Amino acid sequence: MPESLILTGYFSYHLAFLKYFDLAKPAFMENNKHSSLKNPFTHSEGSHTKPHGLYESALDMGNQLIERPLHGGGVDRIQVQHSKDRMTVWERIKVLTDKEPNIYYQNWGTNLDGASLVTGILKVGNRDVAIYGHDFTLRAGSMDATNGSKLARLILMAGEHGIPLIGMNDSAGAYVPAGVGGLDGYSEAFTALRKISGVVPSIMLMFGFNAGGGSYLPRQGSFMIQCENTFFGLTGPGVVKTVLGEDISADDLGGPKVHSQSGVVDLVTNDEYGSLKRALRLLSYLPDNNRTFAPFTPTSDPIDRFTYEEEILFRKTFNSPTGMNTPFDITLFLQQITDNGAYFELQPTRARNLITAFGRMGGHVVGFVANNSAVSSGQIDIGAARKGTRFVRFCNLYNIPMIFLEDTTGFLPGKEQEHGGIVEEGRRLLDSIIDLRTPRLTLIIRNAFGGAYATFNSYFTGADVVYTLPTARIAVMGPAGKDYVYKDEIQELNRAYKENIKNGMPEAEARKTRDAGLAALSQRYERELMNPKEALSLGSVSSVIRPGTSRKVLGNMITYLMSKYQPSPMTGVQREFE
Amino acid sequence: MITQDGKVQKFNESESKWIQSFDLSSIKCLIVCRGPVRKEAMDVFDEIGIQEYGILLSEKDSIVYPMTLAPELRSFRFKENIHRVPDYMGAGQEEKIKRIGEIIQIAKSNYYTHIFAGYGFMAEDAEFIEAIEKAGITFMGPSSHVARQAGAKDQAKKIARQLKVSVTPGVDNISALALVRKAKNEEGLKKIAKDNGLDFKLNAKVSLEENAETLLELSYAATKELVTVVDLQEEALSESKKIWEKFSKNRIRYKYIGGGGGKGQRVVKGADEVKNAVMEILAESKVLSPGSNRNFLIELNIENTRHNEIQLIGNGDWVLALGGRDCSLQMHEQKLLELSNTQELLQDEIKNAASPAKKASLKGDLKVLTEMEEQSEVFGKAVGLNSVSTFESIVEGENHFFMEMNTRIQVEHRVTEMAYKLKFTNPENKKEFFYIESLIEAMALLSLHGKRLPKPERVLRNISGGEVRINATNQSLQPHAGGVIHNWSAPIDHEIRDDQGIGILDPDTGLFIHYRLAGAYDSNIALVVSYGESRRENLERLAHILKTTVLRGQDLQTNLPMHYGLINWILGKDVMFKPNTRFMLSYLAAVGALAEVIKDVDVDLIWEHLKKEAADNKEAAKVRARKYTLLTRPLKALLSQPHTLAGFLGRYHGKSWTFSGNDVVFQKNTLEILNDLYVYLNLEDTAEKDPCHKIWDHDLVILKEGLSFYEDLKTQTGLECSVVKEALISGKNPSPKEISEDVWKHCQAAHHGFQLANDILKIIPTIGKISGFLDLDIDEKLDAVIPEKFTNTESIHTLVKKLTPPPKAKSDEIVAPMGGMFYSREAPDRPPMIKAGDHFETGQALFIIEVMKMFNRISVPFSGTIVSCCMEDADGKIVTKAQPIFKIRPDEMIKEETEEEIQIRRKKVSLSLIHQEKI
Repeated sequence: MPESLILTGYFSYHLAFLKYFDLAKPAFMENNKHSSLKNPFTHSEGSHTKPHGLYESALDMGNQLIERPLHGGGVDRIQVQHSKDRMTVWERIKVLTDKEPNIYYQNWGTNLDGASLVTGILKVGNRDVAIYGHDFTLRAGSMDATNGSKLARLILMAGEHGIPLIGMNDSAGAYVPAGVGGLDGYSEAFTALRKISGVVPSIMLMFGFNAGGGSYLPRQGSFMIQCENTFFGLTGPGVVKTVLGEDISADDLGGPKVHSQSGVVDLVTNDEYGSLKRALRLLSYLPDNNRTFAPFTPTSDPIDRFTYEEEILFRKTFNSPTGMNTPFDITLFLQQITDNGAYFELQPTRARNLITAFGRMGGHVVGFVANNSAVSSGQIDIGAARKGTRFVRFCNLYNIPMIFLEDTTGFLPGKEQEHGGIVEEGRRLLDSIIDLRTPRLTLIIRNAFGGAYATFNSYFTGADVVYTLPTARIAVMGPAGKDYVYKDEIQELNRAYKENIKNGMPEAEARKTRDAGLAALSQRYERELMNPKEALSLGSVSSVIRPGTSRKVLGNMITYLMSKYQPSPMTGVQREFE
Repeated sequence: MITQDGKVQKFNESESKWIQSFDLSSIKCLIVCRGPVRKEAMDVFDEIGIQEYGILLSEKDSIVYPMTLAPELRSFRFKENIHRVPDYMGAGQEEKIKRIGEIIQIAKSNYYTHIFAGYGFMAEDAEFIEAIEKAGITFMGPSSHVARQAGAKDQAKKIARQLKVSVTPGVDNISALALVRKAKNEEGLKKIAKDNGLDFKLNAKVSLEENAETLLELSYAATKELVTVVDLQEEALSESKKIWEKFSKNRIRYKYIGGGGGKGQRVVKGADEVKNAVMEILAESKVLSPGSNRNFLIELNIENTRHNEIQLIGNGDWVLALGGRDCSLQMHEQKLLELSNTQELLQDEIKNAASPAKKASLKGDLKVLTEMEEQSEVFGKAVGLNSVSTFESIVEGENHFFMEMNTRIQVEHRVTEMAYKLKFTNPENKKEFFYIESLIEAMALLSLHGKRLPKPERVLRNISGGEVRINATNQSLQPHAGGVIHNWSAPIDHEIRDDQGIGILDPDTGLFIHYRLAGAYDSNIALVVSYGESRRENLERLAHILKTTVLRGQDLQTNLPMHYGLINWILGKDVMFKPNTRFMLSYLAAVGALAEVIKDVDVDLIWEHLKKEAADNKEAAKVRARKYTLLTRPLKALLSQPHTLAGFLGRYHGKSWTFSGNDVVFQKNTLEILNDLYVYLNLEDTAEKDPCHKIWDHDLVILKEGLSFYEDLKTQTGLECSVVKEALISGKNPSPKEISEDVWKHCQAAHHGFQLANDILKIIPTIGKISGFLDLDIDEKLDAVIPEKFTNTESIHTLVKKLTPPPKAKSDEIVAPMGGMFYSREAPDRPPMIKAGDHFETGQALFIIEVMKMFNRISVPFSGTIVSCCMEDADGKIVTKAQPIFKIRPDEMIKEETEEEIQIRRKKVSLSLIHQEKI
């Protein structure tokens, strides 16, 4: 290889290699139509007759070693990878950054090829990010004891240096010929990733077809992003067919449409490029580690601006024909209060009765958990509880302040939920909120009933401040509560109804009288008990705020609280349940 | 304002006293429109230095949809000047009046001096403008008297006729004409009235025809027959003959006044058809009985309508035409691609025209344009135009007919800005002058200094200007709402993008702010404008802009691929193409025909099949395998999008390949065609692209190597391309002097290798041929040539549907998606949201399920008709999850097709492409 190639920089290197090796001279045979992909005018024959000393030999060997991991499994395998519309690991790195990557353990592995795994540090913008990526062109990116160890080292290093981790997963699983070694490799990586969980955030991208450990490992990370035309799961459809006799396509078994609904993945994108770009966007909301704040960006959006739209939104919603019972999309409110209206929703296609999103207030990254009455009345079910729990725990570990926007009629009751374990899932959400140590505020927008009120960052779970809008309806029970509060009055109405019939009043008229009485009680209940007064009087709520000032009140309080908050790793007793 | 030496300057910064006197800094303007023109106006106002401006902000632009905050706000300088309104305009007359009042109130209480309405719906509403004028605020645009006179179509046409401006020939008072013919004079009329016992008084002040009209009205009331059917037939014949004298080739349309929906209408070709046609329309309209009003319209039938318009500017004293715009490429009344049409352009093109037919056609265009410009100025002056307006005409061949004047700035005004700028010179000192390039700036200037402004000269900026409207529409150009833009690449060189501010990055983080295309107002997202020293350069630039634009997001559909395809198609035919207003529909049908074929084309299957046929030897097989991605990747990309395919076919058919019977004959080295394909798909290698957006590196090596091989072979031998080609085929060394036999052997091997398997590219033209797409063409006179398949209304409908199959339903019922309390109406006093027999659209709310006092509106993702309601009178009843609510008949049912059936069909279609069999 000519020397100049070594100097042309990392990326052109890759290309130069292909040119050199791939267009080899055709083997000419007699009586045969020959075929080549070589321009005979530019490839002159055997001209490498320069003196070749010991130094040059060493250099040649060095060059070959340096370039070996860059070839992966050779051009044939790369072509196969490309034919599936997938990039090679090196190409994926290029999408993440245009700066040269700092690759660690370049020639790791018995074949000195990097052992089908690339590990390194990237400069993304001005942040250092640890990355790993399977090289699918080598042994289908599979794991053995060697690269498991390599991966573990990178992961532990990210934890030690306090830099975030991005994983580009594209692995068929354990390398079967490696036997138990493959499993050991995974174990080592699992362990490393668990050890840095809560120390540095990680974003896991799912490319290609991943099975077994290739699925568990990424889910140990903080966030998972899957793109279309990929699969991951315990095993592929083939094994499922043999073992269980189920006939199912890869997409139906472990495609993005499956995992985005179960909550296993946090974001779904159209393609690999989309996933890589989305990871960078997500990263802009994440701190480097558990000892620092998420990136603060001074805002040009005045924190004390009066938000007319907030008022208009409430007026329009609550003055509509369905009145105070009108559902509305809480993100419409969210976009009014965050800096420049920007927010980043996680798990945006499932359990949208609860919205989890990052946004900024006065430049500080804030985690928002918001009940969304536009979906299933904003009731908290198993899916919503799970989504909320995960998000609250993440913010807690990484020193991200939280704002809870409350508008829920409660946890969803019923057979389906009980059988699915809503008590356990709801408990998790409750506990995650109790454990929350970062600055945290609640704004009650409308409904705050019963257990949901108690759970959802109330003063007594440790909220710094609980605010309420005048439209709040804080009560032990929703409208159904009138049956208990006015038990005697209702009994009296029923008695009168029977009495009237006995006295010869037509049934219809008697019923009408009774129903009018019941309706009056409902109205009375709403008037007297469905408001924030009682909660205010008991100190369950700090103060009422005017619609239009939510951004100002919440933003200023976050700024204040953050000035008194020191980012630090979580310490203290480990609780029995997560 | 642009200074003499081309610098942007505010008027008050000029050193010239005269220029200074046009200072605009006293203006405080309220912008009452939305869309791309709002941001454009803000930018212009910033540049020209008006005092301040404000905007209205509707609920739909702020609180109705998530991620649809008006993007202009991100960089809005006057936060106090955002005025919240429920909406920009009113739905009905009552709401409109309320809104006008609201706007004037806002303007007055905030001391606005001017109101700018862009091309909003109210911008040419005389009532609105008058109210503004009465309130003492200046309307930045034509005054109410202009809007009133020119805006009403019939009024405008009347004025136009008086001014000898060309309008569609015809008569609208055939009955009166027939009566006049009978009566001959005033006495005759009186006599007829008397004979029929009608109380008629002659009005000497108006014409005989108008008197006849009055008498007819009386006769209808008294059911007396003054004019017989025979009279009408004769009169129609005489009037029609007058029209045919001038327009012998056109047909004439007869239309009964009260007719509608195609009833009571006939189009006649010649004199012999007149009698029957009159009888038929009257019979169809049931007005044969004596004494009925039988009046009908006679008008020239415009067969080949092109939509041309002239940009006008004036100050009430002078009016100047700023060239034309061709807006014929439109669909559903929505313009798509607008191109400037100037005398300079046409003169250039006439000079360069290759054929006499084209030259003649263009000369006709020049004549039409010149006439239209003259007439538009006459008309503009007559109505006292004191701002900008558009004179709209339809053009057919060398005839043009005035339709109406739009008394406002138009969406496509920038097309004109690209072509001409305005030069204002001090009448007292010819050395003092300045330029205006923006029509909005001109409007501001006219609104404040109108009468003082001398008549400007128009100065050519570019020979050609063009605008592409980027809309949120699906492949068949129907609105597609709801997509979210995640990223939009910044404008490139020669690109002017009016995007409403969507591209303004987060001022804090520098990241693109996600924006939802809610489609609350219209589907337009942005306007992309470019220019060139010729129309070709202009279109090439637009094509390049569209090609390199990266617009990514979730569930996003835009007409970008359609535009890219269409512009390339035009570039491949003739840039001076003269489409009529129906062309787009035919084009879309033709693209639909492509879609129908490519949905069943499996490139891999074809690749495998060709492999069997060409199982040469091991060496060849290896080379062939190596070329797999090189060849199949761009092919798959091309065949995944019918609009993109259409553009490639249009651009290269007849140039890169021709047909001999059903066989494709390449006219170019297939490797070059492949290279063209990569470039066309924006997959060529450039440094700034990410690896997944360009040719894979191993494929690039082959392509480069191959192209350099043929290049070297030419230079080494110094021979003509055709000779080299011949030699490579025959195998005989063409110049043994330059090339040794050994090298020549390698050359043959290389040729074999580089050409191997390239035949798969033949499927591109073949698809074009079997779909009929290639029959869509342009003739020498620059008119479209459209096969019947793409003009027939029925087949158009079927073919366009292929582009976007409507969502299908799986069953014949709609069930409750959750358990709760059912309601058929939003409130007890409201009607049910839908009832049996009603048709429902995709996404329409059909009923309500209440869960814990929250009212959830339920809709379904397909359209259909309600057959029966399972929940009659059941408001307030509890329903369980999956309980049927309606029995329905979906518009599109899923036709269950097994995987096997699909495979068989795909195989059949795919293989037919390489065996040239008919499907």
